[in-house]
Amino acid sequence: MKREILTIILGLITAGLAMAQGPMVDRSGTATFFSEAPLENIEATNKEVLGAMDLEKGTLAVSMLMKGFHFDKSLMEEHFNENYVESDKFPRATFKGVISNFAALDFSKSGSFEVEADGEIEIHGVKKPLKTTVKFEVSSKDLKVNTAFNLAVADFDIEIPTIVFKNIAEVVEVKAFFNFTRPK
Amino acid sequence: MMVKQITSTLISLALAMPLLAQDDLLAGLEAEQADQKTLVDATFKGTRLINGHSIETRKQGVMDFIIAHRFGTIDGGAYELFGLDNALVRIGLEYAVNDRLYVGAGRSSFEKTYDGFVKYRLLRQSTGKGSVPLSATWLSSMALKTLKNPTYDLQFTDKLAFSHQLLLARKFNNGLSLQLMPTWVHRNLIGETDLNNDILALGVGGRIKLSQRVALCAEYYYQFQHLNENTQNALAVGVDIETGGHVFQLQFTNATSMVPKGFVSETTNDFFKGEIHFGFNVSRTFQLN
Repeated sequence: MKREILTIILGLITAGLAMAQGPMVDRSGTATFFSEAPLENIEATNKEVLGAMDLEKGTLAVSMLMKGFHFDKSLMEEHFNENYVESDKFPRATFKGVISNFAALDFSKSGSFEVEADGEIEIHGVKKPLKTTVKFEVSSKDLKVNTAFNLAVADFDIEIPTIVFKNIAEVVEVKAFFNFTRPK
Repeated sequence: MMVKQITSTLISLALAMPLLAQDDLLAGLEAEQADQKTLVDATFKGTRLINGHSIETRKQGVMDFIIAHRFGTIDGGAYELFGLDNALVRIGLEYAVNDRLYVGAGRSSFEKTYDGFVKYRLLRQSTGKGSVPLSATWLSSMALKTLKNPTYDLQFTDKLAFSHQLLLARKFNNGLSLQLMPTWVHRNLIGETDLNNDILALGVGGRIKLSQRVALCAEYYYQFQHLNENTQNALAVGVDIETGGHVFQLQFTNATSMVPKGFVSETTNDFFKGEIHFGFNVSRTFQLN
């Protein structure tokens, strides 16, 4: 009897291990933001964004260090970290969410499709719900994920002083891109 | 009854699964970044604390144009408009060769002095794995006084003075940064009433941020030897105001000179007798590449 139970447990563990491939992780994802204002356009890129996707549960997670954003003007980068997003206090921006209608999607076939992702974004210590359209490009080797959305700077308690009001947009356009290598 | 309870528990568990899963997913990513080494930026707003240099340099490819003014002393009263009738100016141009090496040159109207400096960041404060608790920057500065000497025909080398500083600073938190500046000033030639060619000094300074863009700064240089009997230790208090690409520094100081050999060892005004200069530094940066 004991042996039988043990066999069942072992069998279950083995099955569990085989099923759980674990999430796919991209450690060199890209995030950019673009601010268009009367006096200047500002663009910053972070190429060390961590993205994870669980193809079994349809969940997504993104985490990036704010200091990973690089600007054309280095002083701007310093001010971004020091005065706007306060990177010492809030080192990262994150997103976690679920792909809606996940069960109906087929990730085994090559092709591309757009779906909604529903989740929560956190920047500067402020959490906000975020719904965004995500474009998947599926192939047998990899899975490319693209998204773009707009964020209002004021929603995240980031203050823009009036003196630079004409330099920084109130709403910035955010884009993110991940390329997940598919497990064999 | 029992079955119903079990079913509802199972359903609620199943519903909670994706939510838990996304938390786990995110926690996993955050754990990867937790230990990542990052440099501590903006220990000070500018490359100058007040009179002297801070540990800061600009990032690679940045050119900084600095105009510094020191007005006459405020004890001149209303007749001199508290010093505003007299202004000394230093115009300087500086360039960051890379993120560690910073070079600059300037010309002061005070004693018609040309100066040049090389600044190198030896250590940069960081957080995370293998972090460094403080920043250290080396500064070597040379000054050439070209004001004509009425009595002697001086050689080029006679007019030179050198200062070397090891700048040590730590940003304790977003609001507080402190700096120590062991300093050595050497003059090739000194006057008849002067005592020392070499002067050692220790500077201390710091800043407290009053708001995101405004900081209060103070700086004091204690001298272990004096150039002559008239010299005083240089004290300065100031406010840094930053607006986009500009940094404005307003200060009150007893020092007249704006180059290290001058303010460290040639200051003759007494701060506490009101022999104080009002002054400001304006810095404008340009990204060259």
